[in-house]
This record gives sequence, C-alpha cells and structure tokens, in this order.
Amino acid sequence: MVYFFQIAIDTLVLASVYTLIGTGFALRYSIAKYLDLGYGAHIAIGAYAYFLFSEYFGVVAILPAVIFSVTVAYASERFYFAKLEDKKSSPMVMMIASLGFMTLVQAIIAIFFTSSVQVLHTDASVIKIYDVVVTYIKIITIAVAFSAVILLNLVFTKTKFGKHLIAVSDNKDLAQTSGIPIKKLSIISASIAAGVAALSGILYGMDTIITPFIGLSLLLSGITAAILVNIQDPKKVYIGALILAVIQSLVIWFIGGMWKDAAVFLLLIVILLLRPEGLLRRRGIRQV
Amino acid sequence: MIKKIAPVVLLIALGVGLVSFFSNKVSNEGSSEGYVKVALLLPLSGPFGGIGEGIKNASLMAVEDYKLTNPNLQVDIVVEDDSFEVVKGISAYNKLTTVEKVAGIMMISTPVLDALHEEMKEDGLPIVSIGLQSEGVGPDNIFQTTLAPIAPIEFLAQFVDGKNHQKVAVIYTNTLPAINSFHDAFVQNYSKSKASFVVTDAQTARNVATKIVSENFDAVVILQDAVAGPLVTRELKTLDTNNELTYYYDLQLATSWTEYKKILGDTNKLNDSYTLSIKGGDTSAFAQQYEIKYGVPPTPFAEYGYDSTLLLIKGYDQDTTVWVSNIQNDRFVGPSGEMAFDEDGVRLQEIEVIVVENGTISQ
Repeated sequence: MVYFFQIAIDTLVLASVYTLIGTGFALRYSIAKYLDLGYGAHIAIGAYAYFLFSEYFGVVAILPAVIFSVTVAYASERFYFAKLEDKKSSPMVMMIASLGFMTLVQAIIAIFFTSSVQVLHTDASVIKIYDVVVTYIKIITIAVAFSAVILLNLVFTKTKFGKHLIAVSDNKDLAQTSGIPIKKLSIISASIAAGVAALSGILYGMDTIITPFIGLSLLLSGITAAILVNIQDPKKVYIGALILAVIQSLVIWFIGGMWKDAAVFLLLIVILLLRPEGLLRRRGIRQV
Repeated sequence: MIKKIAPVVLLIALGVGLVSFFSNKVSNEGSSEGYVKVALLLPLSGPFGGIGEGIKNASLMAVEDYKLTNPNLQVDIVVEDDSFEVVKGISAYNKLTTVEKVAGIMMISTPVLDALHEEMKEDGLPIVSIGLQSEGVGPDNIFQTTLAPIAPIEFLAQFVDGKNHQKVAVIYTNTLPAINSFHDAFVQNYSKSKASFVVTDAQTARNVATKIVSENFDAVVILQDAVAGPLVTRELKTLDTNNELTYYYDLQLATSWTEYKKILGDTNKLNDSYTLSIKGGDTSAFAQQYEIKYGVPPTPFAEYGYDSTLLLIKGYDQDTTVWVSNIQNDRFVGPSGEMAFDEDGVRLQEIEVIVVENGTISQ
C-alpha cells in the first residue's frame, strides 16, 4: 500500500508538470491558432536561466529566471512572430518558424552550457509520510501547479483579458472585427505562456535533471495532455495531464518502461480518430 | 576596358595562386620522410565532451613525450569534434581524410566507428579506437584499445552468480544497441532468479526504483548510459533507506563518473557498490604528469588516450601496410596496462570486480 501512495505522489508530480506545460501551450494555441513549438524553448530557457542565476541568488533565482523567459518571449513575439503574422504567413509557416526558434535556442544553450546534464540547486532533503518518501520540491511542484490552475481559471473567467481570450479562441476573425486587439492579446498570451513554461522547466529540473533538449520531450507531453481534453481550453488541461501521467505510470508498472511512449501515443491516435475535438469539447460548438 | 577586366584577371590569378599553393601543401603532407599527420577524432562537445577533452590532453601529452626520444619524426596533430554523433562524425572523418589528408586516426566514438567501419577499411588508414567496435570486427586496419565488450559483462554475471542473491533486478535501456547486448549477455550468463527493467528517463527511473524496492529485490545490476544510470541510482538510494540493496555496475560507472557525481551530489552514496574494472598499468605517474600539465586530474579513459596515440605514432611507417602490421604486433606497457591485441585487433586485457570505497573507484 505504501508503494501505491509512492507511485501516486510521483504520478501527481508528473501530472503537475504536464499541467503547467499543457496549460501554457493551450493558452498560446487559443490565440495563435498554430502549433507554437517555440513555446518549448521557454521550458529550457527558464531552467537554464535559473541554473545560471541560482549561482548568485540561490532559490530566489526563480523570479529573475521566469522574468528572463518572459522577456525573451515578448521580444520574439514582438519582433519575429508578429512580423510573420503581418505577412499573413500560413499556420504551417508559423509552425516551422517556431520550430526554427526552438532549435536555435537549444543550440545556443548547448554552446554556452554544453549538452551535458546539469543539476539545479534545490533542497534535496526528503521527508517521510507514513513511509512514503517525498522531497520538498515534489510538494512545491504539486502546490504550484494547483495554484496556477486556480489562478489561470480565475483570469480566464473573471477578467476582460480572459473574455477576450475566449472570444478569439472561438472565432479569431469575428473577435478582430469586434475590435479585440489580437496583436496585443497575442503578445500578452505568449508572455504568460512563456512564464508558465519557464516555471515548469525550473520545477522539473529541480526534481530531475536538465539538458538543452528538455523542452521538446516535455512539450510533446504537454501538447498530448492538451489535445486529450480540448486544445482550445486551457482551463481543463489538468484533466488531460492527469490521464496522461496515470497511463504512463500504469504502463511502466505493469508492462514495462519501454512501452511508456508507445501507449501514450496510441491513446492519442485513438482520441484523434474517435474524438478529434478532445474528450471534453462539446461537439455542438465544434468549429467548422 | 582594361579597368573593367583588370580586377577580374587579378581575382583569377589570385584564385589560381591560392589553389596551387594549397594543392602543393596538401600533396607534400603525409608523404615526406620523417613527417606524419594524424588526427584525434573525439567528442569534444555533448555528453561525452569532458571525456573527449581529457583524452585529447593525454594524447597531446603522448606526442610530446614521444618527440623527446624520437626528435626526427615530425608529428602533426589535427583535432576534430564528432560530439559522439554519427552525422557529425562522418562529416569530420571526410574532412580529415579528404581535406586534411591525415595518415592515421585515433578516436573513441562507437556510433561513428560502427557507421564508418566499411569506409575506413576501404581507405586503409590505421584507425586506433578507444571506443568499442560493435560491427565488422576482424583482422583489418581498425584496432580497439579496450577489450571486447561482452566479456566483462559475462564476467560480472558470473561474479553476481557467486553472491547467492535471492532476487536480482537488471536495469538497462533498450534504446542503445550496445546496452541491449550487455543486458542479453548478462541474463544469459546469470543463472539465478532475476527480472529485467527498462529505464529510459527520469520518470521510468522513478517508477522502476519504486517497483524494485517494493518487490523486495536484494540486488540491482545497472547496465546503463551516463544519464539513466545515475538517475535510477539516485531514485533507488532515496527509497532504499535501509541500504538493503547491493549494487553492481558495469564499466559505465567509471566512464560516467562525472555524471554520477553531478546527479548524486555525493559519490559516497556509491560506497560498497561493486563495479567492473580493468586491470590497468600504473596510472600514478601518468596522473601526476597530467595534473601538473593541465592543473586537473585526468578524466576517465585519459590513460587510454595516451597509450592509443602512442601506439599510433610509434608504429608509423610510410608504407601503410607495414604501419598497420607494426600496430598489430606492438607490445608495450603504458598507463592503461599492457598493450597487446588478438588476431582481430581487439585489445587483450584482464578484468576484475572492485568495491567503491570512500566515494572513489580505486584498484
């Protein structure tokens, strides 16, 4: 029984990381309307910025690391992606451009920090709760994801920004005609998403390790979590993240680690075939 | 008119001049008496960058030492980075053979060697590799200065067999062919109760560690790469609070020591673990010389870099066939132990199992 709770805690930690990444990605997608793979770069930017800053500031470095990532997101959105949007680039071109951005960021990080694994400064001490071994960082990760979900839900439902976001998510052209400042909204959403991504990268890195390529693998899981429920609804990504983490843990436990990714992507294929709009999206409001 | 033509003529003349200058330079290199240009094809970036850098330093040290007693042979060294990656390695090899026109190569990256071994055989240059050659091993121009990969794993399996454990967990990764073959060799040679677990990342490491601790295994054999090995060890050590597990490692523990230190934080956590080790020569003098020269202790395999480079240049002959034969038949004792090869050019070495003590691996 102890080990059931041990696995449950670890699964919850993983689901928390996926929630943060998936929520940020869905937020970005609901405005941008293309698969912004460059979003994954901010996971690595946040983690490495923390790695660098924590040498001087310790754990407090989380704040400047997140701010740094947000700044990079603002600059890239303002001076790169917005310019491409102005040229009426297709979603495919935008996706390729974002992939280029992520590859560039990965290469720069690898040049400055090497491709070797790095370990982030954190409190590595463990606490035992009825023989279940938990580290502080696991508890913090779960708490941060939980808070982020509540906070973002409040933002989406109670603020003008959130309402604009839902309007753009439903129909971008109509929203634009209604006078919603799409460009401004896009820059704000990209910045918030980058902050969330950076935070997830830092927390994941504190719990495990980081490499310059951390963004891509985590991004794939985040996208999967978002697609599972409804990629256009950042509020419910946590459900997809939980499903994903539980399936991965069950597969590793009962079948074997080698089947982990295969099982997840098999599920994704089935969902895309049977409910392409996601498990939680009502068919009645499906966009044409 | 002349004003218009003159710059073009000048450019053509300059181009012809440059081409003839460089073609003369290339044709002279590697063929004159008493001169040899050899390459170090090493991972100087990526996960094995640190090991590659140490091997490079040791190789340059070997060349300097050789020159002290053999001043008449001028040795020119070219260094290329392959990042332990096939694509980069192929590109670097082509540059070395076609542009740099080196006469011999010392390398380490197994994936690069496996991808290029046919081409290397055709080219005929002496290749001295510290890394394992897992494909196309035979009596040719490719030499491996570490012993055959499977033999140590069979030795480890027999050693663990003798320990009478009730239940042994074998942890490996299925994404690397070499480690897959190590796993197969272990399970074929270990006769008692065992179960295999695949670990590929942090999540699988965590779940597998929980499963192993929950199912009362009393020993783990870790046949892993430089990242998954330390990760699964960290998770096991976190859960195995009463130290009930006995840990066994293959040679990866020594080669990935830097990563273990980084991820575990304290290598004393590895105390009492068993690990394979190659009975080497006396590395103390080498280590001292290295540390004086570079200010840091030698990295794993640096002594192999020293001996491999020495082997390559010691046997030099303008006739490549003679050179290859010289390498095959050379016998000397260097910091990595006695250098001797079997008929396929694979090094013959003795292995042993040692215990990690005081956070270090020492024989």
